[in-house]
Amino acid sequence: MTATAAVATTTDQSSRKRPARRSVRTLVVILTAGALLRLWALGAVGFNSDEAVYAGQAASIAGDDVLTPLFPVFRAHPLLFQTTLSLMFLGGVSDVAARLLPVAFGLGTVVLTYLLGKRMYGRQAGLVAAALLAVMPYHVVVTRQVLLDGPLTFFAVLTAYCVTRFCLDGERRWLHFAGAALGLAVLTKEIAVILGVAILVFFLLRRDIHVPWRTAAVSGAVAAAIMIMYPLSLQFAGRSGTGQNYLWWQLFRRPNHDLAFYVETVPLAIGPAVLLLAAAGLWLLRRKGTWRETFLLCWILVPLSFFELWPTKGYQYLVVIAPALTLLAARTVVHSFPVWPPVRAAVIVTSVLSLAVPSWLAITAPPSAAFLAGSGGVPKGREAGEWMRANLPEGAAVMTIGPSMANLVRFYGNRKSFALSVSTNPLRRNPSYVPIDNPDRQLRQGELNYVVWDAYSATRTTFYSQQLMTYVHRYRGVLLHTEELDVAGRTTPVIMVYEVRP
Amino acid sequence: MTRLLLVLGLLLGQPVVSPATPIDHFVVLMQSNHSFDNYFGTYPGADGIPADVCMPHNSDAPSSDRCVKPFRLGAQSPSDLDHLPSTQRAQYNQGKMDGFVEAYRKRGRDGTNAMGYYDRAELPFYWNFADRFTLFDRFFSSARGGNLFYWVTGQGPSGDVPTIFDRLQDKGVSWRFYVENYAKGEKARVPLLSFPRFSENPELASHIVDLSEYYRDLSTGTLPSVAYVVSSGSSENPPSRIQAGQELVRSMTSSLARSRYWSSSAFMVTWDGPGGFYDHVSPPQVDRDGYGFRVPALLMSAYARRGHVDHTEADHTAVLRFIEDNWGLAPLGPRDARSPNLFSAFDFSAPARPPELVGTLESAAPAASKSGVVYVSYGLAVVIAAGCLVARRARRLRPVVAHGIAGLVAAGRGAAQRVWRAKPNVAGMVAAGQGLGLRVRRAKPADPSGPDGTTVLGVASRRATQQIRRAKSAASHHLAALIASARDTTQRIRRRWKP
Repeated sequence: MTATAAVATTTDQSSRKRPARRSVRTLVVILTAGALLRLWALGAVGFNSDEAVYAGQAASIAGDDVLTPLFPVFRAHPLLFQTTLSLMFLGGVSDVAARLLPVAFGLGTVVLTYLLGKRMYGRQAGLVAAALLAVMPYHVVVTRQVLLDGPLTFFAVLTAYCVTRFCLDGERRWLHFAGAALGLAVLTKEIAVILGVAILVFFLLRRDIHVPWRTAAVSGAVAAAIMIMYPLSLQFAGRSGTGQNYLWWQLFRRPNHDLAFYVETVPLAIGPAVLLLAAAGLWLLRRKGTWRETFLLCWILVPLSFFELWPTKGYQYLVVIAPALTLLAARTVVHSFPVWPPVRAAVIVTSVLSLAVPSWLAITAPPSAAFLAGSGGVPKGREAGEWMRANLPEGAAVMTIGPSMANLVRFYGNRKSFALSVSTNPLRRNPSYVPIDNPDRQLRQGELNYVVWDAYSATRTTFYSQQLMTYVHRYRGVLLHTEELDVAGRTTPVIMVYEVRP
Repeated sequence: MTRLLLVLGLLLGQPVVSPATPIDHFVVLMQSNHSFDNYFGTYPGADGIPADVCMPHNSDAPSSDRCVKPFRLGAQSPSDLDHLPSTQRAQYNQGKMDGFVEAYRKRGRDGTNAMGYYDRAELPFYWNFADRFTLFDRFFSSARGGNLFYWVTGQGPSGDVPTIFDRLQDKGVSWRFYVENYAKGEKARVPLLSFPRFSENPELASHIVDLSEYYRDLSTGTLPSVAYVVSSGSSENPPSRIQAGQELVRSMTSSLARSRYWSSSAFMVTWDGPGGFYDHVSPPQVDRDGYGFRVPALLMSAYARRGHVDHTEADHTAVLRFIEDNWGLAPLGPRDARSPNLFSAFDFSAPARPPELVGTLESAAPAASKSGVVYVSYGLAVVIAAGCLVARRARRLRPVVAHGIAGLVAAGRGAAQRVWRAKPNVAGMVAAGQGLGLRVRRAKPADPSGPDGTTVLGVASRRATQQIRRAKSAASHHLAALIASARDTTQRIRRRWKP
């Protein structure tokens, strides 16, 4: 090799490395912004009900003496996330430390989205998609909480990445690994099986992508071998009925929200800019459509249809489709404005800002007396619980309006708590909850010693709120403690603790 | 509180006594008619029912098939057993403690129920109470009758004698006698009313009040220093429901725990007599009247030892002695003067325990942890997923592994061939052994220690040894070849495995 040739080779290599280095630098900036939004004032507000349950389960797995009797290990969902969290609890239980794990999963999802976008539409699209996801209010808010949906999204993107690699490279191992990632997603939250359906629909629609039967079978077997650990663990723990009861209840329960719930709550959280860009790209680039869009649309539409029909609706459930939407939006940005880079840059900056500003406002918003499950912590819930832990006798039992506050009383107050609104009919209650069979008798016999009223549950169910206060008056309730919020310049009581006597 | 009382006392000109311990308020409840073994005979750590006891129908002719073993009463509430002093004397049977069934059978009654007992299933509250606070297992009824009098006077019913309330009244220590569902003038349950001064003197009579006043006193902050309590519907006196008594004690203790008095109070519950039920401990004879059989006694306080079984030998007059020692009162009689004062059940050197409500759910055994199952199953899932990641690398190593296995097979085959070749030597060893055996058998008729036998054996053994030595050297040669072959194979595998 001559000297000139050697110099040329070196220049070639460095010119190839330059965009890669720039991408890494940009990704670091994106991750920093994402981390800032996810970590800012992470512990300012205590847990909500679901967070308390998952953290309580993790504490039980870790063998915490106080929380183990209050939170059974086996409840509604598989335990991959809770088991991982339990390792963090071996040194002690902390709500802020617990939230670091979903934050890590959230940032991991941003990195995976970049890698997926890079494979699908190139490096730039990957970066745009990662930037959009990093600052998206929906993803930021969900991955700041100890919920299963953030880790589920991580494994969903990992599955999508493996499927994409299989479609691009044709290597069987990628489909095998997709099976493994899907198995882990299901072990995080069983509803992830719907992603398996989405992948199946994709392969059925795109017959141009050949999947050998043997490869599909091995992938399915890998996924099944991992998923089987959920029923196996229930079986070995003697709790095989737990998962079945919960599934039956979920199938036949009354809807907790109306059909317009997702339309009203999710688009704003995802960001109109992302939705517009994704839709515009699908229209503008319709002639350039490939299997990639089919795959992304399957990933979005199958879960969307399922959750719309599923009677249980939750704010955080659709976060799993957010990365796919950002990829479609990134594709539009990168491939629709290739001729005039300043327009592209302006669109990117505007889109990112349109997400980052609401995210910032969401995490710095003053606490409100109204609360949507899954959208953040319960203001003053932690403070009320800690007051109970310090001031109520050990062994005291507390009656609340609904199970949400009951879970907070258990986690922060370390006291047994039961919700008035939990139905005594096993077909109409979450099997995880214990009903109050006869509030009058239990109050009279001293089985329930304190009553906690909270504004959040009261806004959801005025009937049970009034019922609860009836018992407070009937059993000579004495107000012991009030947690107040400053809402629009007015001090509003949000949680009140009463002592009742037979 | 004590300082406040002192100031108030000085202001009102009343003599005020500050207690000797942190216990400013002592509440003592008397329930009815259950023996210690009837309630706590199977409580872990307590002096309970002996394993092999079987109460004879007839103590003069004990028989293994005509006796009653202790049995769980379960949910049933047996009818009231006769527990007159004469019956208890027959049960005691001069210290033999074998007349618990016979005492009834001699009177034409069954008596089997005397051997019944309850456990945690029926007494979850009392057992949980004992788990968290103090249980006395050497607490005796004061006598075979008249225990309520011992409780207030330190002696049996014997005319107009001073009571503990007279002492408290004289010393200016506040007191009240609470009665569940109190109807004025009820002498049966209020021994105090047997003394005319407590029914005739309005000031003294005003201290005897309905139990609802107890709850009011707790909430208004007027709980007296000493409070005696007797129940009626909740007394547990058979055939009353024992659950009713537990509910009463639970209500009283939970109200106390939730009140301002928690850290300065003690609550004691005991039973006046055994009610005809079996107890295995022969009561010590301290005087002409007693003691009677053991009864349960429980103590709750911020200073009570947690889960402690107190073995101090005491009777109802220990309650009097505690009050006397705590508030500096003179003893009422010889019994309380000699009695221990219950201080052993407290730990006053420790800070006051936080208030605790005792529940009715079984809580003795901690829930079995399922962590192992969870960690193993989910860990296995992660291992399987990680296995997929390394599968490619494993595939790359497949030829190397295959080669290594082939090498090992070849080495094995070589070793087998060498062993096969060594077979004649082994066969020679076997033949030598057989020859030796044959010679030994032949030599057997002769005396093995004689010259003939010795010679035959010696020759055979020498030959065999030579053959073994030859076979050994051949075997070691083959073994060395085998080791060299294995070493060679290992080196070949190592070379292949290098990236």
